Amino acid sequence: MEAIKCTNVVKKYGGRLALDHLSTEIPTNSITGIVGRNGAGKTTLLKIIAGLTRETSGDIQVLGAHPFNSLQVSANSIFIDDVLSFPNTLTLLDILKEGERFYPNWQMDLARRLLEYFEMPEQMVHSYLSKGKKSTFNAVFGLATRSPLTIFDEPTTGMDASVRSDFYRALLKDYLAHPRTILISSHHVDEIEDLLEYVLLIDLGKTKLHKEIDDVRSFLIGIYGRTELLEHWVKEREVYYRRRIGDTETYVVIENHVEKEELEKLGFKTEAISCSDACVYVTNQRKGGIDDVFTRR
Amino acid sequence: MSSQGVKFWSIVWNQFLLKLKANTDMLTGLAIFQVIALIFSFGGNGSFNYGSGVEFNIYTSDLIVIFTMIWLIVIGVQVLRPAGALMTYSMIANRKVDHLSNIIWLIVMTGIATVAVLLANVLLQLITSYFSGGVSLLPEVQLSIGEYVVGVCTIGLYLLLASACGYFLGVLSQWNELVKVFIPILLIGALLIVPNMVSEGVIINVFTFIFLDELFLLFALKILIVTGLLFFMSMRMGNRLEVRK
Repeated sequence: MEAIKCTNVVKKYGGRLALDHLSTEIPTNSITGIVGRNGAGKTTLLKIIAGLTRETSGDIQVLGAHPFNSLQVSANSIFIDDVLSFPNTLTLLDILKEGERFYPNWQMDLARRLLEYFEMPEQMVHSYLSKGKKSTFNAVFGLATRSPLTIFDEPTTGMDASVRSDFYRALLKDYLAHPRTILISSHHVDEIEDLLEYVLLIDLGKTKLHKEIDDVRSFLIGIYGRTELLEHWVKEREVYYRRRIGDTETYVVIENHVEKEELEKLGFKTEAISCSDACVYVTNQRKGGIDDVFTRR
Repeated sequence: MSSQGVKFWSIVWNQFLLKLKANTDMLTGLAIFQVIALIFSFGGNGSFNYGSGVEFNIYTSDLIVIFTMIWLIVIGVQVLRPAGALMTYSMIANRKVDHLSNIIWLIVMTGIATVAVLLANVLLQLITSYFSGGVSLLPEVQLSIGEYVVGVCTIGLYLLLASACGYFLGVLSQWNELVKVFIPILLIGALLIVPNMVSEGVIINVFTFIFLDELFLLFALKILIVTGLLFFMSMRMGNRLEVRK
């Protein structure tokens, strides 16, 4: 059964479409990475799912209810991002105690041990924390709620590399012990790749790709070859990325529906495309790269 | 799927407790407002002279009440500030829970403010009778317990009305940023235009009808109805607003 079901969800800000008839289904008890370019609509989608923002049109069901203004959805979900803030009058421990009063699955022991591990004194005030520490605290808060639906929107903003990997590891461990539906949005797909079961790639407010992580990894293939030969061969295919190498060779990225032997016969070399590169290629506007900005005049 | 039955009122209560703890800094504002009011009150609110060298000075706690009302309007708006909303919704909440817990919190703040007004009043009496150098006529004024209670309740009701006004303004300004600009314009505009359109008597009558009833129970009823209406409209208008844009 799916935890989240979106059908033709539209969200308009002024005249601009942030979500453009987006439809998707997220299975219960899975970790899904929400991936996309800046402004693709990731945060908007997550806020609508968490019930913080209302969709302009379309239908959305979260845990069997319409999320906006729903106490049911709020009680069973948590939305964590780097904007989340707490007043100066509460210490970190006070905030954790407040969380304990609200969330039935609250893990006080886990939360306090995580704070200790990340070297955050319990008597600190939230707003005096550095940007990275704030993100870390918010992430700990999100983990401790153990909500059936846990949403992290760019949870690692400002965290250093070691804290990021520690956080992902903590998330994975807790998820394995207590499965729940987790959504993570991030720009660093390579960092969360090992964590994810599904990838939902959003581009221009639409679902571009929604696959299991292994299918995303094998979705595209990169091919090197002599320019004229390769160009002739890819004529009928959709090319996601094209780059000239020297004068005679070209590199293209296409969908992985090819026979390896055929390629070898033609003298082409192949290369696997990582998940994060695949996401970049799929959402490329195909109008050349950043180089063209400087060369074309 | 685990979807615990949600106990509405226990969440409202938890949110109220959270707001009580989170907004303790606003009480500092109350202290500052009342100190300012006290300083202004020391001068006396009026004096008259019957000749023969005897001068009467009148000291009242009107200013203390007025400044406390202003403070309540301010916190009524402030409790809706975005930082508070972020905190509220990082715990369990929906709009209804948020508004109800805010309103309960404002009622409690009104209670605290009423007590603070009474204490400030005592302080004012002490200081003026000590420093004015004259003879205090206060011991000559004997209030019955009934009169005292009615007086305290009247102050409390005025303060409650102020907090409801503040909250309503807060919700209005959440609807549109422009409201923040328009409200002062509308208020001042109304002050200038309305007296020209209707005769002065009508305004005074309306004002007197609502706010200055001789019968305490009728007065209380009217204030409570106006306050209730303001809170109700705030809830209705705020119900469809998005938490985060």
